[in-house]
Amino acid sequence: MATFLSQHPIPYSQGRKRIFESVFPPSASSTLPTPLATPSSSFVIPPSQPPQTPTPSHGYNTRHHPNVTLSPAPISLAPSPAAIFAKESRAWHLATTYLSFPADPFPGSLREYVQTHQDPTRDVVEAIRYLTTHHPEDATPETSLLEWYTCEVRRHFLAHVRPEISIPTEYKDGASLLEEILGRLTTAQSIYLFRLRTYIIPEKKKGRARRNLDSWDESDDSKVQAFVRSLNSIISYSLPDPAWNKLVYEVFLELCGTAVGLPGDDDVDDDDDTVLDDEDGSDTISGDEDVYHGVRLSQQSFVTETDCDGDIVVDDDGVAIGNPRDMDGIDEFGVYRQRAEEKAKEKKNKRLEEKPREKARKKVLDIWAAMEKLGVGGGGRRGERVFAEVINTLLTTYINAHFAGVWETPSKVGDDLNHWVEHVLGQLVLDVLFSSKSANSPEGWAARLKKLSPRESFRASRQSLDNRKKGAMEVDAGAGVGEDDIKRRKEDLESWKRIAIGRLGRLRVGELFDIVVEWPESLGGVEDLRSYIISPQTRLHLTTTFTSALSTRLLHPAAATSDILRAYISLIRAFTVLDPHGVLLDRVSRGIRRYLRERDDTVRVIVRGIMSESLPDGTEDAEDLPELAQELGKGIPATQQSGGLEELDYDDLSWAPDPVDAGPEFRRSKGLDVVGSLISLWESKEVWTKEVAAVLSGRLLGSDEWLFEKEIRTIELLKLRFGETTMQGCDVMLKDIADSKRSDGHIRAEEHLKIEGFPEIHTKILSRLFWPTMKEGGFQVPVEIRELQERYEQGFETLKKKRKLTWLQTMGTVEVELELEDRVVQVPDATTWQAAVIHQFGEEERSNKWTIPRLADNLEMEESLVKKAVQFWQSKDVLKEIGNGVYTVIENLEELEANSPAQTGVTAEEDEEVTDDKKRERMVVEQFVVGMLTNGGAMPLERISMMLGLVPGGFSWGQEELREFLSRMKSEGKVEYEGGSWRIPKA
Amino acid sequence: MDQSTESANASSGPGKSTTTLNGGQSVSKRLQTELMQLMMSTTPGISAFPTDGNLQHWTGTINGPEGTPYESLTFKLTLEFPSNYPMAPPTVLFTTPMFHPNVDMSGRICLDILKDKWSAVYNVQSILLSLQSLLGEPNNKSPLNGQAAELWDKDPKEYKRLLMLRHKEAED
Repeated sequence: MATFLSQHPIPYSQGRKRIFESVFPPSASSTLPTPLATPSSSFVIPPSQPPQTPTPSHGYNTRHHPNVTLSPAPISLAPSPAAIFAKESRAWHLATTYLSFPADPFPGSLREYVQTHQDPTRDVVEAIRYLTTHHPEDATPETSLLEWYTCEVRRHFLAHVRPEISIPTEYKDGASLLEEILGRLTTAQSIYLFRLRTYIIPEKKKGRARRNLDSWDESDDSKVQAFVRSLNSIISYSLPDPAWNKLVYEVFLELCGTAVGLPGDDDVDDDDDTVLDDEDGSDTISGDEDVYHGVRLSQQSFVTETDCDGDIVVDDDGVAIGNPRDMDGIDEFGVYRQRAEEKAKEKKNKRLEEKPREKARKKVLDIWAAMEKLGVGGGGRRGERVFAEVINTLLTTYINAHFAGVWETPSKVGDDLNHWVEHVLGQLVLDVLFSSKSANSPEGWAARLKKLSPRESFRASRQSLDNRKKGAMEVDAGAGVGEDDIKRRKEDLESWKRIAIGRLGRLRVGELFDIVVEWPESLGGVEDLRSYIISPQTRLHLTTTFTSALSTRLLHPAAATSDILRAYISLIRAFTVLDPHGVLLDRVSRGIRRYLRERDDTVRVIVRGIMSESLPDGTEDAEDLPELAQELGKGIPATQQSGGLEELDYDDLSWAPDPVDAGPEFRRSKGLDVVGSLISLWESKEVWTKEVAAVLSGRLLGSDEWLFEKEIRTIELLKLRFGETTMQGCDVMLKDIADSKRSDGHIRAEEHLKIEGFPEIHTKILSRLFWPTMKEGGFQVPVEIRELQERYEQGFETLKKKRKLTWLQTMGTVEVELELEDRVVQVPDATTWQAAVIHQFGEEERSNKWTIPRLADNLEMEESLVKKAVQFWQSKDVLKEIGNGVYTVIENLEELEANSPAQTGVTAEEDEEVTDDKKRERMVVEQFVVGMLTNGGAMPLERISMMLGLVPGGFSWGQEELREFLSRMKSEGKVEYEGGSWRIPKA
Repeated sequence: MDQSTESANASSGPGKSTTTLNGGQSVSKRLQTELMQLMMSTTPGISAFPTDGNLQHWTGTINGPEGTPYESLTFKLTLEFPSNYPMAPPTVLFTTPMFHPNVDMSGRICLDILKDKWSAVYNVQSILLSLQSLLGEPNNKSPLNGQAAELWDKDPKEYKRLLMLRHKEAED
């Protein structure tokens, strides 16, 4: 500044005008005061005036000088005012003519522009220098060349650059479009600046225009800043609003996605497949190039741009990111071997992933830097917000893409995620956002950038992070960073991590049902969740989401009880890992428990599972849950054995109150106890003991063994659960069998039951009251057996006074050996009734032809049972039907082959069987009909049919069938029909 | 309908003891079981069946026991089961006009097991049997119908006449 410039009074009218004009930019037609000038001897009047070029049609580059006398120069040393004025106006004219922009768009790059544009003539240079060195005190477009230039730039930008940056509604390659636009804008900006620097403000570093241009950021010239600000605001204003945001969002999403390693077009996954990565790497590079092929031209302009602009942001960052080893070097400080190894591995991986990622990252930074320079990135809030949205979306996408369904254990997901957030995402955000912040504050505009380049800041933050990790809290102030900055960055990073964990948690909560089903392969998923459920809200979210998933996916009629139980067992295990207190388990299992209680076969399935070792071989099906037997074997977790008294244990130093979110009926359980959870489904223990007894009796009676160690073990284990008294029945059952073995041997010896030619007989003597109810319907056993039984009875009654034996003829097994003419048929485990039936055929010579009713009469056996027995022997090719329901023995197999009416026989059998079932059904229906009509009065057929829905097992008859049935009842006099209704006949 | 029949089916199986559990389901389950028992046992002279398929509302029929004034007469009743049945007794009313010392003119019955002596082991069958025997052996110490109580011992003929008069109302 020319300090010797003295103040002078401004005429009143002028002062007002200036105030006015400071608000409203003067138009071309306005009259202007004479510029104030300091005397200067340096301005040499050019010997010859350049020919007057026709002024462009625009604006106010010509100056109007209304009156020379208006403002007489106050300085005495000056040449005559007229001379100054003439000189000035000539200079003005020369300068503005030279500096105004032609009415066409700019070439592709600054370099091109620099090459093509003509250097100013000496006159012009002098004129400009004259004008710039003689600053008027009050700058208006008419007095200050800078102000004029600003206006000129604005005009040119709006008229010629703006139309070129419109965004079409549809575009294919967003990135290239954005880059093209940014390229145009940057070129325009740099040209504007170039001219500003070169000609208008070159004062201090005269002759070093180029250099000056390069380091504009270091310039403390407030004028340049003002110019840039004004230019940027115009640029920012001229961008089409929603379209621009959308474009930037999309491009950033794509590029940042690639940069942070999202599996997109290039699927470079994490650590595992190092071998493959090599190929992948090269693949993706080429792919990358393909993608950006179309952009290369505009990229070129970028490159030139960076060249010109030197080391502002882009290059610096490029280096910083390009060599992660640079930064890792800081770590080597610590000299932890292991860490070093890890680092080495990381480095290796990084290098492998580096290329496509780095490319994208560099591009992002390029774009961001360009945007920032143009004031549309960080400078405007818009850019930052869009970027934040991008990061937000990326976080979710990354988590979903990388961690969905990844449940391996021990879970590395949390660490991976932290690492990713800290090193990849965080780094990207730091790189991008850091530079922008500084640009925001007007005073620290360049200062902060200068204070801390992104690389340094990154280094500093990394260092402080590392320090923190090592436990050392001191902050490296040598990097020149305020503690505040680091803190904020650390806080940011921490909050990002929290957000990331939250997102991961949400993902896992959504997957929780699958996690439970896949248990225990999905342990890792649960581990991830543990870091999520740390607040009541997240816990609530988990339970509600999971409960609704349960009810939609599991708790419906289509799911088998065993599947539900299996899921419940997994659920117990998974949630015990997830939340050892059991509060969450308590909450989510309520629904499933309620549902299980409603299922009728729950008890059966569970007991079969628990006693699966005792089930006869070959009867296992998908319904069974053999794992329950193992669970039972594990016993009861120690803490539970104290029972409900735990709360009263005053010596329990580790006692803690129930968690705050525990429900009212919450019962703490410290250990995993699957069986315990299942048997607490019902308060009553009877339910269980009954079923256990049923299974046990089946097992004890179903085999001819005498030793039942497994069963004894199971029962003992169950005693732990249910208590001695509850399991007493089962105890007695086991004891009965053991006793039977002894008494059997004893009685047989006493009564000399081992007789040649007679079958052997062994008994199991059961204490009737303690066994499940058995079918007592007996039949006439063959005489030989009857004799043996009677002798056995005697033996028993002498052994145990006052006790009586009741034979359960239908129970038990018989080893049958049939000697036929051509073969011997052996059946080691026929039932007693099967044996009795076949015995009839062989008993008497007089007849070996029997019909089923005759057999039934003879044996005093139920017809259905006889029928089953006959069928059994038919299937063994021992019996055959010879017509009219008469059966006989097949003595020679050739007979069977000769005439094989077996087929018809079998079908006839089946029909018979059906009618047998039907008979039972008919009896029930009849009872219901009678009951209904007795109490409800006369009813039409439809109503009867409807009311019969109450019949257990459902009522499947059609109306015709029912009508027929009622007619039959009518013929038997049980009902009568009158006036469309059926009723009971009056007595 | 499907659901209830299904549970009735199972109640004869392993899940039978679940009927003693509390809960909305258990009432209908219990009544299903009782219905099935009642239908299958066919005790002569008594019968009951849900009205209109509503399990908590039954209609019952009792034949007057032989050797009593009620011989060869049929009486209808309604049984309303509370939702906490069998913890509380059902409400039983004669719908057929009744002439009996322990039944009032609107059919209400004074019987201890339907009041304070109720126990969950009683069921429809035992209620109906009790009522049937009540017809033959009224408790004249606490009559609801004083006239009937008086006539029961003093004038069986008049008793029978009034009974038939009353019963006739039903026929008309």
